[in-house]
Amino acid sequence: MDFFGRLNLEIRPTPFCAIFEADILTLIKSKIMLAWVIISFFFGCLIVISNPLASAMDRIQTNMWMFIYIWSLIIIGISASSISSESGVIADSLLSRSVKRYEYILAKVCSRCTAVLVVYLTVIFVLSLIAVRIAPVDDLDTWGWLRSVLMVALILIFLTILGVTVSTISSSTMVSVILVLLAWYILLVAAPSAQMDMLSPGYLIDHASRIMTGYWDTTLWQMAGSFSGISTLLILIAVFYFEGKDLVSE
Amino acid sequence: MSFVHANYIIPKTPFPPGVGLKMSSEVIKTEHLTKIYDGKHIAVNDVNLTVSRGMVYGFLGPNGAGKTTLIRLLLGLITPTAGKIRIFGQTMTPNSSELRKRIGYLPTNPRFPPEMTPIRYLNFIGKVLGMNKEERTTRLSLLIRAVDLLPYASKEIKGFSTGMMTRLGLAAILMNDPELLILDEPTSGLDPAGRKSTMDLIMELGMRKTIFVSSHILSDIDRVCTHIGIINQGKIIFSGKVTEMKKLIVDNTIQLELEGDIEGFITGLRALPEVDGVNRRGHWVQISFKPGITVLTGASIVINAIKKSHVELITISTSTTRIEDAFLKLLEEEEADGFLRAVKP
Repeated sequence: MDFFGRLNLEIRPTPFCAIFEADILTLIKSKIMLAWVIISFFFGCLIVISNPLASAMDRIQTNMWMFIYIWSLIIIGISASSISSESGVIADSLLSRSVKRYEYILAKVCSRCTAVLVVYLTVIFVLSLIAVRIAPVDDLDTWGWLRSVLMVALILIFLTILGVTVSTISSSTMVSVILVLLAWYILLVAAPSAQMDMLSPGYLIDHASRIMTGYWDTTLWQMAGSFSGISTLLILIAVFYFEGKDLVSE
Repeated sequence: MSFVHANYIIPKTPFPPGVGLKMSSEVIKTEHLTKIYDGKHIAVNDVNLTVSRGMVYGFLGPNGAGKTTLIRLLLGLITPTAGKIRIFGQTMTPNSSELRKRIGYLPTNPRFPPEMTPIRYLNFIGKVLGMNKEERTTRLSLLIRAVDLLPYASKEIKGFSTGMMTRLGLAAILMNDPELLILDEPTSGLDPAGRKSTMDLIMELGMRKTIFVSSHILSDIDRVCTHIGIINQGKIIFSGKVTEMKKLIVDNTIQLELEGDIEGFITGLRALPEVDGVNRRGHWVQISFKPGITVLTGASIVINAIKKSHVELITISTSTTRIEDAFLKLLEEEEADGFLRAVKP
């Protein structure tokens, strides 16, 4: 598959685009990604059709809960293995060529975030359509629904970037996965306990139904700012760390 | 059978006569290059190296001497603890992508994304190098055929043998026809046919490119290289022309491989006044001459003796062809220097 080639445009590709395209194609062909899509649709449909008394918003909220608490494991696996799993290959086959270090990192961040977002948005969108057709809609507001979907997307992007950053620092995929798992579940548990709602994905999920009716509060603004800011910081850490990292052969 | 068809990848117009002799432009230059890992292990120790345009520079050293570390420093894959690296006159850094575009690097036992095919991989490399679709397609078709991977062009790399990986690696480094090739043990893991083919290609490429090749197979280096550098425990102990290195162990001995009445031949030799001693091991005979007898005179004496005897000459070699001896001599001398190594230039 050659996106630019099919358009017959005389475009000279850049290393960023080449790495992004190659990584996305690898993920598309990955059995884990395919399994994730199928399983999330399957369980999502079960959730949507199983509780006849629940509103559409509650059913959508439950699926968002699944992404934050269950499917996040798959996101961690995808992101935390992005660089550490191919460290023996990238140095020799890629970074010894006309590729800047930051181009490689940014391409990896973008490709993994894109893959996660495509799966999440597709699943949530389809399940939301099913939910509003078969369940009571109540006060569902379209813009509210969009805000809640995008807030969850932001948190999933944060998780993906966290995984890629840890993968940059650690040479071992297993260590990367364990570290990100620990960090993620500590955040899920500790943030509410420490009354830091702006860093609590649980707070978002608890209020997702209300957000879909148009509710919004200061904490949610703080949450959007916090996760955006931390994600940006993590990218900078990954870029700067990787700039000076010795790429030794294995 | 040659698996690498140099005619497919080497342009028909070679350098104009005499260009190869103009070696004044420095392609690789290091000054006091040092790499220390974790404050404990000195992998590269104050290396001052110059490789000029047009050289085929062989880089020799025992296992663990620092060859691969030096190469990775040259490519910007690892950062030096001290010293400078200049490639084509510019400082090499981890982000020197434009500089690395002029370099083709073949690592030891190259590894590639296992799920890719040769076509996809070379296409990907072409995109990384900024080649447009037409350039990539033309070039990768030529190279896949040149390295005899056409039957496997659409098969996943994960099933490839060592030789096939090396061939793919060669194709990849030649994708944009770079000026400098850095090859780290290119014949590692190859069978004799593959080794010969690879070295033939290096020799062909050496006519129009600068090549830096590391190996611990001395005969390969001797065959294709114009210059040689020897590294031991992170330190360069010799750098110069191959012929200069061989002159270090010039002595007046000649080795012969013979068939026939070898004992009769040896008896005749021992009677000659110029001959100091004769040793035999199986079909091999080593003849040492008295001081003052040059290699050329000794060879002439030996040839005349062979003509008069009932032996058939299989091979003849003088001390200057035994690069292994020169290499080992240099290593021994370097270690014997002891503390003087700190002050020797």
